[in-house]
Amino acid sequence: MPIRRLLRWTLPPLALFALAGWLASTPLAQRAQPTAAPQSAGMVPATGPAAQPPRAAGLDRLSSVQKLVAQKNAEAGQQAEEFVHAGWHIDNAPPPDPKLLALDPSLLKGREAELRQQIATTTASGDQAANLAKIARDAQEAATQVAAVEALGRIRTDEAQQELTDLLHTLPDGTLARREVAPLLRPADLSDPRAAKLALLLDDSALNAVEHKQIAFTLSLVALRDRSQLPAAVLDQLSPAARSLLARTTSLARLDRSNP
Amino acid sequence: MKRLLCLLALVLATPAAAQTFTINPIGNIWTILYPTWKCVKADGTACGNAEMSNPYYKQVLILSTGFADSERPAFWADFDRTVALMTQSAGSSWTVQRASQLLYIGYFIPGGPLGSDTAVFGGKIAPHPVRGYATSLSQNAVYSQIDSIRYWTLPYLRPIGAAVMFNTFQTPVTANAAPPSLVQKPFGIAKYTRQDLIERGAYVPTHELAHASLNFLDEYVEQGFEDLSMKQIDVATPLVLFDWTWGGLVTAIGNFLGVYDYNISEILSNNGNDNMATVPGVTTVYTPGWSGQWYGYEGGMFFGRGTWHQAGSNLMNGNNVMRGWDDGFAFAHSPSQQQVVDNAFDGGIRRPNDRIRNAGPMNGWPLAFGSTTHVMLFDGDKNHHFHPTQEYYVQVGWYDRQWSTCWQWGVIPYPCYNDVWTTAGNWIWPEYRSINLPMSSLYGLARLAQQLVCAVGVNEVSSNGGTIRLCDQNLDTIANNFLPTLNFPVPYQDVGVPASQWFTTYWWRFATWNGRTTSGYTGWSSFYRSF
Repeated sequence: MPIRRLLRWTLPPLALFALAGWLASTPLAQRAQPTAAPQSAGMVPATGPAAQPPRAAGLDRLSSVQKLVAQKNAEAGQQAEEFVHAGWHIDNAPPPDPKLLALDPSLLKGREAELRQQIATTTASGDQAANLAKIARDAQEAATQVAAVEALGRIRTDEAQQELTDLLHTLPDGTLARREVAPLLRPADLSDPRAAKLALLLDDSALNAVEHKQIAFTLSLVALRDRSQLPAAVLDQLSPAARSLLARTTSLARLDRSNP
Repeated sequence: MKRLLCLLALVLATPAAAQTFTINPIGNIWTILYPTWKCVKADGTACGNAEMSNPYYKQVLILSTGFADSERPAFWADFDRTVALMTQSAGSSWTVQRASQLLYIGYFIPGGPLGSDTAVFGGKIAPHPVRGYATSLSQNAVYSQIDSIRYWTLPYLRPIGAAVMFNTFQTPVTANAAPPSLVQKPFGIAKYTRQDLIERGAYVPTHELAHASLNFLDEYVEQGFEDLSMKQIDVATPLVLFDWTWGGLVTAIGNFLGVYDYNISEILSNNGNDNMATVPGVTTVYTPGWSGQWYGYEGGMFFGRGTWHQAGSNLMNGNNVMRGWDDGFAFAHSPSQQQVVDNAFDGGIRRPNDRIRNAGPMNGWPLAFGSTTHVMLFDGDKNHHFHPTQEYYVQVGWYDRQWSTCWQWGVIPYPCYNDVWTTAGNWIWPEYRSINLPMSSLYGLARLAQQLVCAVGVNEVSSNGGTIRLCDQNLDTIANNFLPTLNFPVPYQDVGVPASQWFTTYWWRFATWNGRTTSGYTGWSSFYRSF
């Protein structure tokens, strides 16, 4: 078969194949990764071989690809233009470190100060709670442990609250970080299952007296805020000492000095 | 003639310390013998317009309430006593350190006895929610009076702090003062009684004027609250409402808890007052060339936990809870307090505004809609009395797609792209922001909220178009619907980011400029713009 005929019958399907492949890998299909780690900066091709001079591509095909490229580049540049239009300017900061963004506990070796700054100056998401708990346990410096505990307290998810509860049983008593945990335990309201878990901690011998009092005070505050009380089924599980403690902290929260 | 000459002699023989005096044309003997106002330096020598107009000197104004005209001698005697105590009996407190720079200006205003309808500024000794009795007056009336004095009599009057002396020997009576940042005034107002000078010497005026002039908070702990944390009050944070000072969209989103990270504990005790914070690592970002501060002792602002102050026994602390040997009361200042004193008297900013945090949306927030996303900045120095943040530098980054022509097998062209990191930055001016906390929504927490607010020095709140003295009120006697709404300036700033690219993750961070130094950056936070 003449070479020209061969090319005529093979190139279009191949081109179609390639186009279909490109469509399947378009951004619209791939964008559902909001927390994907940033890729390297610079002109490194994401896929495919390096550009080579055209040898056998049809001019029409090349032209259409180039038009598409130009169109896409024009669209891509719009974001920067909108920032400039809004009074911002394009500057040149380096991209963030994915490990710092992820609060990777491995950074405790050698980069603890940077990790601490990342923790202390951002508001972590729920899926970072486990990392924060590990950092609270494993950090060398008390400042980092405290920052991790504080950061867990700012995440208002059940997962973060569970990690904090676990830390009460793992952090050594008397440490700065341990002292911060109990006041950060907080149910949404007293019908929240977390409230029941907290109430049961009042009889947990692994906690010290101050922690018992702090947890009781939180439960009292929520009760006063919402004019509610713990479910009877929960109260029935508490010891008389725990119920008495709740009564005392409620009195304290009411500023009822006649019944300290 | 002889009588006239005698009278003239008496007029000319008034106390040498008085720079000037006003003669009551009606001929009241008290106004003849005793001045309406006087200015003295710490050593008792007279001062006048030359000193008052010189910014080297800092003025402390002392006013009167509860004194009849015939009691001018008593007021001036205790004014002189106040000056002497603060100057000579306050250890190494700011009033002793800076004695040579202080001008004490007394201004006497006669009126009815405390608690009467004619008491100056409505002064009275009122029942206190917790401590029995406390000094009470209309702060707005005091500020108005000071403006009037400046306008009519003392054009160079610009105090760094004002105090009102109550004419009473009742005891115990709680003295108090409002830090200027929380009441959004150029200076605060301290209140003390004549009995305070007898019982407690230099302590009360020096301590209360430190609140009013230097914007310090209390570092001591209230009895009964030694083991409890300020952060536990954050159970009330869901009740906070963003007020009119925010844009409508921010208000709508901000009131939906979980998007932004704001806390009542920060609003009360990490809001420009320098000597107090809600974290021990008070310096959150590293700024090259500057060492950070560590507030290692826990306690203050009522609670024994959840608030932090620096080591060093000092004027604002007490001995109720001592975390270490140097965590008690002294007529002295901690290093961070000393920095503020030096700033106040010498000028010059001594540290970056480095108490900052990205406060939302929460990391990876997936529900950013619309062409502008509002990010929230926490800045513990936004409302700093001496070096408030002047500008924020906000950086936003994203990956732009840079398209090019690629070649499959060398022959087939196809479009491909690279992700190119791009950042944009902008300088943003801080703007006043505040929140409302309706006491009616607090239910059983209202009394505790009242106590905390009074403890921090906010005595007056707006209510139904007027002003009520919150700390005088027995909330049990007020119907819930008529309880006032508390309003606080906040250490948060919202910034609109023109993030318009659909299905794109943006990252952002910020730094502060305080007039001397740009701080280090916060870490990068992210949000996902959906559509």
